[in-house]
Amino acid sequence: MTHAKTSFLRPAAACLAAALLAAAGCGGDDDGSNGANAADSAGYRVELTDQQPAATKPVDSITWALPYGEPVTIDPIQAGDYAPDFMVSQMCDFLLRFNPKWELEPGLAESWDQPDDRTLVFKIRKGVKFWDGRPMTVDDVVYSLKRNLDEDAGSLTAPYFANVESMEASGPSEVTVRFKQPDELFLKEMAAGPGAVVQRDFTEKAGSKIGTAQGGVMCTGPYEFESWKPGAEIKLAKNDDYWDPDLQPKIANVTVRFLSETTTLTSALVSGEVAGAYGIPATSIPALQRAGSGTLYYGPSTQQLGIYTARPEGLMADERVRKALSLAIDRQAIAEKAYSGAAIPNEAVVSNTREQEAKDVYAEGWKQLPSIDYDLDAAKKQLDGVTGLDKPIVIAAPAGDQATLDVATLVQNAGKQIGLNVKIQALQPLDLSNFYYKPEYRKGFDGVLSVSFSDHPDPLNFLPYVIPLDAYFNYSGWDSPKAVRAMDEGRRTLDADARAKLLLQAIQLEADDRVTIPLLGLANISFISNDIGGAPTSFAYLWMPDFAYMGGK
Amino acid sequence: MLTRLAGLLLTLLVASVVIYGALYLAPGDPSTLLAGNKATPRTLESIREQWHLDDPFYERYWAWLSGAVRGDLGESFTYKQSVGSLISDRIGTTTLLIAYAFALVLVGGVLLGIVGALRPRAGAGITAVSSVGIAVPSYVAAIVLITVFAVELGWFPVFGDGTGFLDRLWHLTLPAIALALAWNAYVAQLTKAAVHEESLRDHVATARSRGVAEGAIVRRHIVRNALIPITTVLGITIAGLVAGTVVIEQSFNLNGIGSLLVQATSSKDFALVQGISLLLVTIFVVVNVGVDLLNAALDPRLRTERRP
Repeated sequence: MTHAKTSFLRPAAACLAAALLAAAGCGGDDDGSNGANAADSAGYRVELTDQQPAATKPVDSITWALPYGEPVTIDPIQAGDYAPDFMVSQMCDFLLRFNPKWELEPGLAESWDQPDDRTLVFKIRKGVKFWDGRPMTVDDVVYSLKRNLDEDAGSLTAPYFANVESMEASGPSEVTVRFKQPDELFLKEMAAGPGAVVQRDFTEKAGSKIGTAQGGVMCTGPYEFESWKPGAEIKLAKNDDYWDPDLQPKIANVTVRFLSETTTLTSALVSGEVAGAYGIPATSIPALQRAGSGTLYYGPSTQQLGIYTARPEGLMADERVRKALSLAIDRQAIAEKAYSGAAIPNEAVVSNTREQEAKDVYAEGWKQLPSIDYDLDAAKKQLDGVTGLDKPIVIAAPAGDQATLDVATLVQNAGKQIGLNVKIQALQPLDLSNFYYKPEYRKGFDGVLSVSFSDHPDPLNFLPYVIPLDAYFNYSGWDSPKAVRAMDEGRRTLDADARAKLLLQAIQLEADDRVTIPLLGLANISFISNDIGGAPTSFAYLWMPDFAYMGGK
Repeated sequence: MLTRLAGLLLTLLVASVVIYGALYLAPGDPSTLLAGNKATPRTLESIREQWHLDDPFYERYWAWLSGAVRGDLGESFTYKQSVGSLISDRIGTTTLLIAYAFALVLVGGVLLGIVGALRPRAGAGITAVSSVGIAVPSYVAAIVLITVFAVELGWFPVFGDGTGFLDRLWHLTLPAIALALAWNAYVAQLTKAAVHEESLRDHVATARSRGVAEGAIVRRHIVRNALIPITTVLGITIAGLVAGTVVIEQSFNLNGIGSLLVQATSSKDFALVQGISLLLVTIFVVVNVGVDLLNAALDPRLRTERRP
C-alpha cells in the first residue's frame, strides 16, 4: 500500500518552521528513556518501543491529529490507506485483534479453530451490542465478511478472499469459512479491516452513503462515530457499553483533526493543542525532540521506502543500471539525513520487521540477499558496457512528502557519482494515483520512489502486489513464474517455518534481479502528550483500537 | 443596473464553460484517487460509472448547467455531499476572515499611507516597513506568527476556526494578520503616493495661501481627492484577499472556501471546483461594480461624463 500525502507546503516553509521552533528552544529534553515497553531495536539508532506503559485515569476529551489528512471513507471494506484504516480501527471491532507485536488475539471471535487445513471455524462472542443497542448476530458477521467481495461497493479487500469457497453461519454463534485451497493469510487479515463487523441493517439502509461524512458506520467498537465535519474533523464518543472488560475506554471524547500541513501539525503538537499523532513526518523530528509537551516514540514497523521500476523500457529496465544505482546509494547516510535515524537500510522489497513468526528462518534468509552496502567501485563495474547512459533516469516522488523528497535528492547525488543522470519529478496526489494505476501516466518515467506498508509483518500481505506479472506494483514486466509459485505455495503452507522458506525464495528472486531498489525500513514515528499513556506505538497501531488503550497519566 | 446583471450572468456562463472544459481536458482520472490503493479494475469501473466520468463533455456540462439554473450545483464526489451545503458550511469562516483582514488593511494601510505622505520623516520608515511586508510571502508570515504568538507565547491557537463569534475572531486573528500583511503594505504605499500627489496640486497651494485651516485642507482637498485611486486599490485588495485565503486557510488548517478549493482542484472534483470558482467570479464582478459605483459617488466628474 502506498500513501501520497496531500500537502502543499513548500520545502522552504518546512525548513523555516523547523528552524524557528528549534531556535525558540521550546524547552524539555528528550532523553530517550520513557519507561515504555522496549522492542528489539533491530538495527535502528533510535530506541524502539511498541507501547507506552498503561495509564488508567479518566480523561474528559482530547484532540488527536491525523497527519495523512482526511480519510476518503470510514467503511472497512473501502479502507486502504493510513487515515481510513486508523479511523476504522477506532470504531469497528474485527473478528481477531493484533497486539503491538502483531500477535493474534481474540476479538469479536472469542476463539477460532482449524479442524482441517481448508476450514476455519470462528466462535462468535455473545452479548456484543452495536452502538444503537441492537445485538450483534452471526448474520451481521457473515454479511460483513461477504461485503468484502463486493467490488461494486468499492471493496479493496476482495483479493484476501480469493481462496474462499463459502462463508456461512454454522450455529447461533459460529461462523465457518471453507477454502478452495489452504490460505494462511486469511486468518491474519481477520485482525484487520477485512475482519470488521458492521451492522447489516444500517449498512444496507445507508447504501452508497456508507462510510461517508453523512452516512457514517454502525459498529461495535470502543468509540462511537459521532460526527464528521468534512475538511476539518471527526468526533468520536466512548462506547459506554463496550463488551471488553479489559479495554474500557477511558477518554470520554476524541476529536480527530485532519492536519496534513506539516508545519501546522508540528506547531499544534509543540503547543500541546493536540494530544498526539501517529505517522509523524520525519522532517518534524528535530522540532518535536525539543518539545516539552510530549514525547517522540519510534516503533517497529512494516513501512519501507524503495524505488519501483516504472516501465519495461528505458534505462531502469536494464538490470545492470538498477544494480549500479542500488550500490551507489549510502543508505545509512540517508537514514540519518532524511529520517534523523528513524530508518534502517533495507535489503528487500518487504521490510525486515523482526517482530514476526519464524524469526530464525527469516534472519537466516535475509543474510542470503544481495548486498546493499555502499560500494562505488562495484556500482561502476555494473555499468560496464551499458550504453545510452547520457539519457536521464526520471524518478517520480510524492509532492509534499518532504522526507521522501529529501531521499530523492540524495539518490540523485548517488547517481551522479557513477555518471547516472537522475531527475526527480514530484507528483501531486492525483497524478501519483494515476501513475500507480495507468501505464499511460508512467510514460517518460523510469521509477517511482514510494513508501509502502503491510498490514502485518507477514510478507504475504505485500508480495502479491509486487511478484505476479500483473501485480499493482509490477510495472517493469518482471515475469518470474518461479517466484509466483513460491509465493502461492507459501500462502497454502500453514507451517510458519516452511512458509517462511517459500516466501524467502520469492523475496530472493526479486532481490537477485533488483526489480525494485529497496532503500529503507521506516520506524513508526508517534508523538504523544505527557498527559497520555497506554498508547500502542508500534505500527500495529494502524489496526488496533488505540484510543481504548489510552488513558490519563 | 440591468446591463450589469446581464454582464454578470454572461461572465458566469463563459467562466463555467472555461472552467469545466479546462478540468475536463486536464490529465488525470479522479477514480483512482477515489478508489484508494490497490483497487481492482472493476471497482474503478464502477466508480467511473457512478460519477459519469466517461461521458462526453457536452453531456456532463449540460447535466451540470441544467442543475445549476435550478439552483442545484451538483454533488462533490470526494465528499459525497451537495456542493451547495459544502460551500454554505464554510462561507462564514472565509467571509469573516476576509472581512477581518480587510478591516486591518483599511485601518493599517490607509492610515499609514496618509500619515506617511503628510509626515515625510515617518514616511521613510513606513516605506521601509511596507517593503518588507510586500516581500514576505503570506505562508512564511503564517509560520512566523504561529511560532511566536501561538507556540511560544500561547496567545492564539495554532489552527482551527473556532465556534461562536468571539472564539472565531480569536481563532482568525493570526490568519487575518498573515493574510492582510502584504496588502497592508501595498495599500499603504499606494495611499502614500496618491495623498502625496494630491498634496502637491495647485488648488491645495491656493487653499493654503488663502489661509484655510490645515486640517480642512487635508480632509477636503487632499484625502478626499486621493480617495478615488485608494478605492480602486481597495477593490483590488478584496480580490487579492479572496485569492489569498487559499494559502492562509491551508496554513492555519481553517475549514473555509480556500482550502476546499485546493482540495477540490487537487482531486479534480468537477462540481465542487465549478461551484467555488463561480462563487469567486461573482465576488470579483460584484467588487468591480462596487468600486465603479463608489468612484462615481466620490468624483462628480465621473457622474457628469456619463450623461449624454
